[in-house]
Amino acid sequence: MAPASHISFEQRKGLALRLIALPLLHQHEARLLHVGAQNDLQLLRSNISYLAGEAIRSPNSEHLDCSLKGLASKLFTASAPQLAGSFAPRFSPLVTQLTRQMNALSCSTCSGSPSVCDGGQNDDALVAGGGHCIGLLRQLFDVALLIAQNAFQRYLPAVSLPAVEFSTAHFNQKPHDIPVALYCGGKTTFANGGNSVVQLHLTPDVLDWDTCLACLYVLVHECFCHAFYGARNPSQRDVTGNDDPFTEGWMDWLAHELLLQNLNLTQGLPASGTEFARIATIFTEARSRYRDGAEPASKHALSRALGKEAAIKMHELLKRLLESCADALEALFRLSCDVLAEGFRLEKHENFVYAVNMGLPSPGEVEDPQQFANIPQRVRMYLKNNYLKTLVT
Amino acid sequence: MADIRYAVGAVGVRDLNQELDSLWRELQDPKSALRREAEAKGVDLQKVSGLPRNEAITVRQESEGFDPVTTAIIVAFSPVVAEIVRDLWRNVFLPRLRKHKGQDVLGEEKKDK
Repeated sequence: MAPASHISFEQRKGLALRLIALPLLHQHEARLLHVGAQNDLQLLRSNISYLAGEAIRSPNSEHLDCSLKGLASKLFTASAPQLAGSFAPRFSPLVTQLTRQMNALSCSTCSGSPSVCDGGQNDDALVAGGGHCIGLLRQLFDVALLIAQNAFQRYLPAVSLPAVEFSTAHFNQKPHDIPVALYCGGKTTFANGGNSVVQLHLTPDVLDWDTCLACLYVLVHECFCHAFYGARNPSQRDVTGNDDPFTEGWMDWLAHELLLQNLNLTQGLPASGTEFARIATIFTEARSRYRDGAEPASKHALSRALGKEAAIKMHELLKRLLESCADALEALFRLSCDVLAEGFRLEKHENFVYAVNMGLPSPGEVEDPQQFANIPQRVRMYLKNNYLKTLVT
Repeated sequence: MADIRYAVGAVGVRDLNQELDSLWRELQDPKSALRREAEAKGVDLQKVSGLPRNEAITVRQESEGFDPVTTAIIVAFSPVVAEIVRDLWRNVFLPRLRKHKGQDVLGEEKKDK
């Protein structure tokens, strides 16, 4: 089986520099701004961006680690004015850390052999096995996958989950139409063997710290909302598409909740859980904002909003039912993972979301037992005997 | 054999044709990785060996429309070798272009005509 595809060798040369630099710049930013070194900081950012652009034009014969070492030397030279200026004592540790990390990356250590990436057909396998040059992205994926796997194993312990591979791809423009300045997106596909492939989409030219933070939310969304779709029968599944209100709205609302519950797993990543949570909230809200603001809404916003609304209504119902009120969110997670793992077709997902939206009151709306009896009855039956077919018809 | 229409992507027609020139040159080299890749994917290259690129595959804009949503990029194949070149485009050239020039080098395939 072919290894999952990754960002091309030439693009990774520039991306590696950005992925080393962005966490360090973030780490030092407040201290530098506090002493008034914003111009020097801006200059350093510009130099890094320029060098990353230069890196992607380097020939394939130059290995990635050699390219980074050359860039480290150039960056050090270009930073001479800041290293000699009035902010030098604050600036010097940043430049030292940056160049040290750039010099430390070793392609042969990453591959564990003399055979390293060279723009050829082996590259994807090498990145899949090591991928030190995109180490931060791999770390984020590992955390996201762990969060999603833990949830499915908790709520559906009897279901064996398909393996999930990590893939990356680069875009020239923002890889989605959501009105938010975050330059990452994702896609999950299903390989013939039954594995899921989660692909992270990035626009390297405009990669910034907020986008790095957003990658965690995107990857949690892909792993939780898509990778285990149809897990009970992984060899026969097909994607349900971007207009699926259940995966894109309902499950996304839960993916955000799940991320907030698991911020402790972000320890070891170069940002605090609060920072990841802040960006995740911005991203998930923008996805389902269907009224045009400064930018037009995403073309899938309405179906996402409907899915999200249905999930919230179901949560409210589970809070009211005796069978689930002790922990309504747990009950909602279990029900939702169960529906996803069953692998219903798009039409069934749509019908389910529609039925919940029509059959349950909005938060605050007065309950009418005549109007709102059917869905609670079906949910009660599900809670009693786990029979999905009465719930999703 | 029908042409393939795509939504306008991040790269213009002139650049796409230049990229195709470069890929075609590489394909004509018997020792090239691209040729090996095409052969490994089962593309029969005999009929296109030595053929000028623009006699096999061309890229053009559908119209001069102002709105990129309604205009399209057309990838056209010469009728004599259409089946082979279409195979080549879908399985070798387009994946290579998307990988090296960005996934959004071309928009989504349009199926409405």
